[in-house]
Amino acid sequence: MSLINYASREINCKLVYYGPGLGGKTTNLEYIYEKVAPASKGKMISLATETERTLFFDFLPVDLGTIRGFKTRFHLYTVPGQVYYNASRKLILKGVDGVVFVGDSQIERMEANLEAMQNLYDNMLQHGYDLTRLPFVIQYNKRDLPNAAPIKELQESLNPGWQVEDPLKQRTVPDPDRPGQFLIHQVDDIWVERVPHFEAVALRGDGVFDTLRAISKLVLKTLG
Amino acid sequence: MNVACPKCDTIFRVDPSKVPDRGIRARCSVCSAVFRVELSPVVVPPLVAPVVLPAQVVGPVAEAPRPAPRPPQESARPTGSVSAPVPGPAAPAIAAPQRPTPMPPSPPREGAGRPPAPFSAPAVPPAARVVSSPAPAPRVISTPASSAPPAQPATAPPPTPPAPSAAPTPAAPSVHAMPVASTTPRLAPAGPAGSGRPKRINNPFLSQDPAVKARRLARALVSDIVVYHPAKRQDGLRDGSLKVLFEEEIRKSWEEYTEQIGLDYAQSTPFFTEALNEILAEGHPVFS
Repeated sequence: MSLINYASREINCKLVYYGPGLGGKTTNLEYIYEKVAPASKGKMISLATETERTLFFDFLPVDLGTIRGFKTRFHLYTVPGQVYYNASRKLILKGVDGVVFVGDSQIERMEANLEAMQNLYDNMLQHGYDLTRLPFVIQYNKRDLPNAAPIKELQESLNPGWQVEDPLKQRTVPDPDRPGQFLIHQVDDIWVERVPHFEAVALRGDGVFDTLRAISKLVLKTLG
Repeated sequence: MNVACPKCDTIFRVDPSKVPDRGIRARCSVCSAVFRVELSPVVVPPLVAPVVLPAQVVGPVAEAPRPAPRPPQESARPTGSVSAPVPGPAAPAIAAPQRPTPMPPSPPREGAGRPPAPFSAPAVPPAARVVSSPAPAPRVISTPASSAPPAQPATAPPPTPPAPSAAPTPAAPSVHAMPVASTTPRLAPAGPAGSGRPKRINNPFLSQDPAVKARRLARALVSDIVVYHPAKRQDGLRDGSLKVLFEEEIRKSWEEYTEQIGLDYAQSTPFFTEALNEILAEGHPVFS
């Protein structure tokens, strides 16, 4: 949950980059760290193995301007992607304000994507959070690889959506980044919501800030 | 009334008088999942012979009490002497970056060494049932038959040890395929066929089919082994030494697998061995 410090007039939000191992979560943070102005970022902390694989998490604080006189500081975390580090992933999710799921577009990693997404749903539920009501975006990384699966198939598998029960939310919402596509729309008389998605090549930085911008906006919206 | 845990499918008998009109959250005493229980007019006959203890009612913020968090075990030590921020609630995390910590080097990562790892994705058993609610709400069983876990095969395969011995078993051919058969969202009827209830979206991540979950977990664990150790795997394939080279990784994966899905279920299903043969051994029957 976002932490508002009235004394220092700061709003602190926690974003977690989640996804399968070697999907590009750390690469996202490294690119952000590289590009953000020194005055707007803190130190990046990375707990990694000798082979540069995330052992526990990466951490990067980034300042994203001011809202109503309050400085907004986002704390970016990654999780270890390997399946058997679930205890760490669950711990890092605690207090989360927004989630970025970094999927690996390679067809060979599809099951790892599915398992990571399931693990995200499960861990959120075990914390008592409702992923369907929390700021949440998906990034499909490694779009430059020849073995990348088509976006349509990735969307069907990883972003199936959920039913919109709240009548107030039952209205067509176009996807601002994709003309002709919708975040909320009717399918066979059922209102379905999907989360925003982005294509990325994190090594080059493509799509990295689009993703960060989208999740930041969603989190700030929840602050009212 | 009976309530099914949405995670492990355990059926609980709950005294309706204990459930307020607005519903209540409960924690499963078997798997610790937290879910909502609401009064329902549907009366369900008991499905499973002995009714287990009622779910434990929990407070507004419920963190499932899993076994003590296992510290990540890795032969390598973390880079640098780190007084790391505790990634817990936002508060401690915020104070963290004040301690100076050396920046890790930033070599190209996560893109290097992506091995070609074709594996087959045979058809997955159909989901045991359709989930009617996308929210993490309790499911009140309306069709006993559809909620039962998938039947075990008559001849259960032998338990899969962490370091299996060689015994040839037929393996599926290795092909590229998207394993979407069991996960693609579908519009599905919420209730029994012909009940006239409106169709609902079936988000597979909000449902829990133990067979699908176990099979996917096994394949993801083995896929991790492949993608994290491409060179070692090539050596193992070339020399026929996969079992020896990956003994430690397979043991750790097996431990996680059994911890998540239960030892009995893990040993009575072939998913883990299948994943080793199809993904790690490129379709060769190396593991049994």
